[in-house]
Parts: sequence; structure tokens; C-alpha cells
Amino acid sequence: MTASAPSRLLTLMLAALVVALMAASLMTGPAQFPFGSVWKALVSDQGVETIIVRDIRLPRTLLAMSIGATFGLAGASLQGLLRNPLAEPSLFGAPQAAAAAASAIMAFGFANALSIAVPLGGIAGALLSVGALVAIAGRRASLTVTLLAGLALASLAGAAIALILNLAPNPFIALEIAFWLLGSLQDRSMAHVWLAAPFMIASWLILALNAGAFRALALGEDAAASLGVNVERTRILVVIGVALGVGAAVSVAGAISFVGLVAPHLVRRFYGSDPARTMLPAALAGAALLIAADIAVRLVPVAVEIKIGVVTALIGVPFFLAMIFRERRVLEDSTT
Amino acid sequence: MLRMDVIKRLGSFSIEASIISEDRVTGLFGMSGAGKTSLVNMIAGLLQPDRGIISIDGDTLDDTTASIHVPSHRRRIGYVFQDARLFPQMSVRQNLDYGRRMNRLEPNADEQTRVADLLDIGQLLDRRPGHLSGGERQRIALGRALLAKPRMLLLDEPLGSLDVERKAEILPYLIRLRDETGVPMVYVSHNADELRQLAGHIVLIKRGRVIASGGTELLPS
Repeated sequence: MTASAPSRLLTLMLAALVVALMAASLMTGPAQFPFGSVWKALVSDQGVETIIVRDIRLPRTLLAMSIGATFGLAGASLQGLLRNPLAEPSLFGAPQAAAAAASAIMAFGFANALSIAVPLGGIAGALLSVGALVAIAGRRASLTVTLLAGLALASLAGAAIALILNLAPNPFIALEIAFWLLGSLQDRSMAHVWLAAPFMIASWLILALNAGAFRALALGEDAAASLGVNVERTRILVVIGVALGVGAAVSVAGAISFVGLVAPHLVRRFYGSDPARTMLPAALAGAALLIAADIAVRLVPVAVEIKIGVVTALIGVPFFLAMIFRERRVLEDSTT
Repeated sequence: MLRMDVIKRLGSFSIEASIISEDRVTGLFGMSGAGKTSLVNMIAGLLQPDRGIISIDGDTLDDTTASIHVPSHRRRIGYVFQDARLFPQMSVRQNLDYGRRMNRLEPNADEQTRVADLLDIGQLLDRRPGHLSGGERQRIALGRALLAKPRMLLLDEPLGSLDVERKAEILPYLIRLRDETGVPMVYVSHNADELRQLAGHIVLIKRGRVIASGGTELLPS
């Protein structure tokens, strides 16, 4: 199936926006560089400028891009699977569950922050959370059941985090974890990128391979199954794909919320009713949103950098409220 | 031949039904809520019986004593619902081709022409479903199900959302389908007239039980 010309143009424009924001992100910081010198510092050794661009700004830019894309794609996929525009990893605490597992590993000294154990723990936490939601939501879940189950799972993840802070061996570790939980891309190195990227790329591939199934699922699970879609397998693959992406993203950047809700919603109206066609634009929009947020936190002149997870939540929660307000008729219907 | 002998609990409601039909069209007749849709969902593999067997032409699809449950996407059973459930973003041609592609069948131009002629939808192929009438949409849904080469077609109140004139317009196509394709059908309806014209074997369903089965003379007039 071919996309129509205007929507293909829009996808190209989104991709161009991501590239432009990445360039802006490399230029922005306490020392502002013009584009020309950023380029030179990237491709050749320019001393201090190269250190700043390659070692400080490049890792956070790459992480913002890939984590934003991961959340955008995860949100679009869950919305496709559950046929519910409000399905989003952070609404049922998947990032919090991943963060709880990853911070437990760090707090109790099982492994240091750059060990492979941290993303693996994060993925396990996210897997539990997403798996439980999809299992409870089941086949013909109403919006109400999905959201209530999500609320309970998010509270459970919050309780787990509170327990870890409570049991933290010393106050410094507790404080460090508390800050890390807010979500940040500050002071990340290429080691973080290499740690998380393979899992995130695996997540993209798994979710992209299910695009056709989401298209069929838009007709209803019974219709999709009768047309030859293996709904059970799709469900399991989406759980794994979302958990891989969210778990890995959270274990290097802390809990970043609501990108998976906002990004697909921003692009959906331009791509019609086909969930498969929303996936790439949702990933691009997620990447653009998170890079922009990461540039914004660097531009606010305060002594302690504002955490990016705080920014995305401050944007995402009012957005979520606005969506509930607009969908309240549907939500009211689903309770009867 | 369709054989099913199943028991299924659904909350406070239960289904215990035994159906054997060798007719080309088996009509399930009953009030809404009698359990007709649950029965066809079991044939489609969307619901798994708690106990019992389901087989079509000797192929076992469900057998709880032998732990057999063929998943629904492997049953090759076409399902047409009350609403046509077409993809609004695709042309009629792409919609028709979808079932074939999902079941990884070779494209077959003769087969496509034959089905398009049978259902009189050849002139609609390049249009989008959004601009078509309910009757036209339902014919396309039938075509899509047929082109996936099903061993059986399940039709759950396929005329349920159409007005009387549209119903009269589609029934001849269903009769043609019955007489020309040779694909056995299970037709669910609470409309005795529809079943009288289409079905050879009637199964009366009430509160999850088969209360009678036999010829069309069982239908209330």
C-alpha cells in the first residue's frame, strides 16, 4: 500500500526537523558554537571544541533522538494493539517499573551504572509491567479496564521505588537515585549509547514488523484473526518490543514519561486511520520532541539543570488531560 | 460436513450444543442473546470450548480430550460480520486482495474476476469503501472472505444493519454464492425469511441449547 503524496512529504519534513534539531542540540550549551565549527569539531580534532561536541553533546543528542523515537514507536504500537488512543507506556508505569528494577540494581551495589545488568534489569521491570497490563486488558478490554489496571500497575511501581529509596544503604545513594528517576540526559557518554542502543534498535525492528498486524487489528480482533493474523503472537511481540525499548531507554536516562502519548497523537490526524502508517511519523515526532526538550533544559538559566523527565511530564500531563476532556464522551460510554 | 458437540461456560450463561449438518448452508436461528454468535466464534476459533469437538469435513479443529485447538488464523475460515469492516484507507481492489495476501496465497487473476463478477463489484474496484452503500460494502466483505479460499464461510447477521430494500438487493448474491462457489456456509440470523431462502439445514437455538434441528419447516412463519 502506498502512502499518499502529502503524508509522505510530511514524513520527510519530520525527518528533516529531527536532523535540524540534532544539529541545534550539538550547538547548544554553556558555550554556543556556530554550525560550521560543530561540523569541524565532529569530523576532525579541534581540541576543546571536539571534546565538548563529541564527548558531551553527541551522546545526549543521540540518546534524546533514540529514546524519543523508542517512546513514540512504543506508544503508537500499544495504541495499535489495544485500539485505544490513550494507551501509553508511562500511563501504566512501565518506565517507573523499569526504573525501580534498574535503581534496585544500582542502589544495592549489584552492579555499577554502566553494567549490562542495569538495562537487563530495566527490561525485566518493563516486561512485567507491560505484560501484566496486556494480560489484564485481555481481548476485548474496555478503556476503563485498561486505564484502571494501568493506574494500579503504576502505583505498584511507585511503591517499589519508594521501598528502594527507603532501604537505600545511605542517603547519598537515595538522593542520587531520586535525581536519576526524574530523567536526565546530562553527563551521558557514548558508553551509555552503546549500552542502550542495541536493545532500542531491536525494539524498533520488532514493533515495525507488527505494523501490518496493527492495520488488521483496527478492524477488530475477531476480524483480524479471521483474515489470518496471529493475534496472540502479535500481542506477545508487542509486549517484548515495548519492554526492550522502554527498559533500555529508562536504564540510561531515568524515567521519561508521556512522549509515547503526545508524539503519536500529534501526527495521527495527518495520516488517517491506519495505525501502521502512524508508526514512522510517531517515532520521528517522539525524537523531535525529546531533542527539543533536551535543548530547552539547557537554555533555562538556572544553577541546577532542569531534568528532562520533569519537562516531558509538565508538557504531557496537561496534554493528557486535554485528551481526556475531548474523549470524555467515549470514556463515559465505556463505563456503562 | 460440520460437526460440533461443545460445552462452554460464559459467566452465568452456558452453551451446550450438538450440531451435525451436511447441508451447504446451515442456518442458526434464535433470538439475540441465544448464543448464536458464541457458537460461530467457536467454529472460527475465537472462543475455545471448555469441552467437546469441532470438525469440518473430517478435519478436527477442536478436540478437548486430545488437546487440539487449531488457532483461528490457521483455520482458513472466512468470517463476515454485520458491519463490513473494510479498510477505509485502501481501495476496493486492495481490500479484496487483503485476505489472500495475509494467507500467503498466490495471486490469481481468474479467481479475482470470477468473484468480482459473482458479486457484481467489478465496477467498484478503484473506489474507496467510504463512498459506497452498505450493500456494496457487504458484497466486498464477502468477496474478501472468498478470495482467501476458505473451507467454510461464517456469516453473522450479514444483513443485520441493512434496510429492507438493501436486504432484498443482497439476498440474490448470497443465493448465487451458495449455488456457484460450493463453499459451505453457516448463516446466523434472527430473520426467518432470510433463512428460508438460503439455508437447507436449520438449527434452532434458545438460551445456549439446541432445541430443534431439521428443515426450513421448523422456522416460524
